[in-house]
Amino acid sequence: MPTPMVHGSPDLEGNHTMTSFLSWLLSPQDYMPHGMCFLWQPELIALHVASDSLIALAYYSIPVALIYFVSKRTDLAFPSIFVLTGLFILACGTTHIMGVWTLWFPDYRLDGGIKAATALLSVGTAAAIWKVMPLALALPSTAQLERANELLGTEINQRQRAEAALREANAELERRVAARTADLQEEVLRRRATEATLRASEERWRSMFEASAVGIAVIDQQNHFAAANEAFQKMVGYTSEELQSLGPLDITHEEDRKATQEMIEDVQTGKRQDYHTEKRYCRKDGKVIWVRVSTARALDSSSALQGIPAIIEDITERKRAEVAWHDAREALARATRLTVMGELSASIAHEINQPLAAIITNGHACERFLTFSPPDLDEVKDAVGEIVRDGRRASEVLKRIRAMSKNSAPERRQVDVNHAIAEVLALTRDELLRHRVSVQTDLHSNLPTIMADRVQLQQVVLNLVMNGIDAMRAVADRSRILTVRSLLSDRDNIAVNVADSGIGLDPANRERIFDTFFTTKPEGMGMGLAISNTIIEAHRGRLWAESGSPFGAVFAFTLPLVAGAGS
Amino acid sequence: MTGNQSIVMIVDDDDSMRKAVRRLMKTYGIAVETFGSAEEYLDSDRLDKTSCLILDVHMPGMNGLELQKRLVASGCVIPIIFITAFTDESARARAMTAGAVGYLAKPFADEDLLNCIHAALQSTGTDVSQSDRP
Repeated sequence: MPTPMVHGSPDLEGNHTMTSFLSWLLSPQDYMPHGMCFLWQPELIALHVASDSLIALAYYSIPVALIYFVSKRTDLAFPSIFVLTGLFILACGTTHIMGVWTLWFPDYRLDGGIKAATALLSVGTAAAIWKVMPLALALPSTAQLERANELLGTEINQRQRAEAALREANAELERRVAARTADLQEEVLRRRATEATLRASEERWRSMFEASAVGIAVIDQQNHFAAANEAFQKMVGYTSEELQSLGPLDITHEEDRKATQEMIEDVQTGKRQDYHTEKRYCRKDGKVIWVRVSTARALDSSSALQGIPAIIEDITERKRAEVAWHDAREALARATRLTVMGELSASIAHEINQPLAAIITNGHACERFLTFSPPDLDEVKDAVGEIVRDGRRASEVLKRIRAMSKNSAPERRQVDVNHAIAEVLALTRDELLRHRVSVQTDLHSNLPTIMADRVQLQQVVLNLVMNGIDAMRAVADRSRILTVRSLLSDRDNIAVNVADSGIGLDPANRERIFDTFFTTKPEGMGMGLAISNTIIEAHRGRLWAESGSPFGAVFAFTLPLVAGAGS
Repeated sequence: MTGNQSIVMIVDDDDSMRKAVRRLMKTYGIAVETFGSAEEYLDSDRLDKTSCLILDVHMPGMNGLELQKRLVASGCVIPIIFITAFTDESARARAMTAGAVGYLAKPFADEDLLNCIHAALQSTGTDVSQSDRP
């Protein structure tokens, strides 16, 4: 190695050392070629050349393969180890090239340098390999990887299957959601339609409720007017708010309260389904009105409004008209009664005259007996006794007349029908006598009393008796017989028959005889039978006429034992 | 009372009236017999003994006017005095036409009845004046 080079540049001592080392390495040497050691024996030379060449070729191919491998396998762990190993093998190969070279050229310095480089690379590689050994050991083996791969594959398969199932489920869910959504939309539409119908219905009912001319109210469990329409508010003079703290009993007239209470209880306990009644309310202003109340059964529990609905109608005017009609009917009945009494006046006069005549005659006799000396007091005593008796008799007649023509209001009492008939016959005794009518009576001995207006009943009997007398007026060829009968027609009714032997009923008039103003008598008013009919109907009875046997007519009426509610 | 003494017969259905008239006649000493109905009178044998008949017009069964008719028809000439509590002009006319002596409305004055009886008895020639007292 040339020395001048070693001292060449003092500024760059390192470079100089390196440069001089390289110069030393490459400088021509005077060593013997290595073939000399083999004595240039061709076979030995050839063996070394062939072996070293093949080793070098093999060594050189390995780093190429490694570099190719590293370049392809980018995911490779520890690539620097592979590079280092490649360089180390390349260096090893080079030492074998140098083995061939030094056979002929004795560059042993270069050969040593290359060996030193190879040694450095070998040591470095070995150190690096040991360094990464734990990490390399931790790397999974191929078998492990394959197993893992297999497991992964299975897992992937499972996941794929699960995913497919999930997708299927998802699709099914979506289908269901779509169907349900469609259903819901339909339901919403349907509900909207129902709601509209309900609203329309409610509006219709509400307007009917509000606009109704009759009062409508709902009575709740607390017995208050939970709801009341305008007509009802006007009727009773209370506002809807005021009515909410009032009940039917509060506005019911004192005298009707007990019956109302009972009815409400019956409806609430279910004893009766509904009730209809006519009663009185006291308005807020104190006025009394008549109302007709009809309740239905309680609203069912599904209804928004709980309670008993009631329809209330103001019938005050009707009641007033009824009372007026009733009064008019009473007045007419009285008037016709008096008319009949007027017809009887001749007979009545006769009946009073009879005892009066006896009294006067007895009086004259007494006067004369008292003028005798001595006065015949025994005769006087007898005569006075008879005078008193006849006076009473006349008084009885007057009493009967007064009873029949009294102007008092009709009254219902227990009436002995037989007794009432007997009184009428007593009153008409002379009338019958005058018309040469004989009376036969057949009165049931155990007739129960009935609740009735005695005077009105007697008016009916009197009418029938007078009609009977009239019907027999023209009869000359047979006995004029009036038969009066009383009997129990059935368990609940008594009947009274008045039969005559007169001219009988004209079939043409038969339907009209009970009509007002219909009469067959020249001086008749046509009131008698019409009024009689009204009276019997008011007693819940029935009046009718039929032909007698073999002649004449029978007028009959029935009366219930238990009086009806009629007035 | 003798057999030929005049007897006034009273036919009236009213018991009180019969008794009262009989009592009044007694104060005048007039003999009286009473009957409750026309039939009862006709059925008795007292028609021949009757000097005067006081007869009620209205009675059950045969009435006074019918009895009068019967008597007239049978040629019996008994003077009849009608008494009635009815004021019936047609009956009065019929009675008077048929020959009644009197037609008195009840109640009547005793003089009126007595006058009628006197008139009736005079018409038959019977005298009752001595019978002023019983």
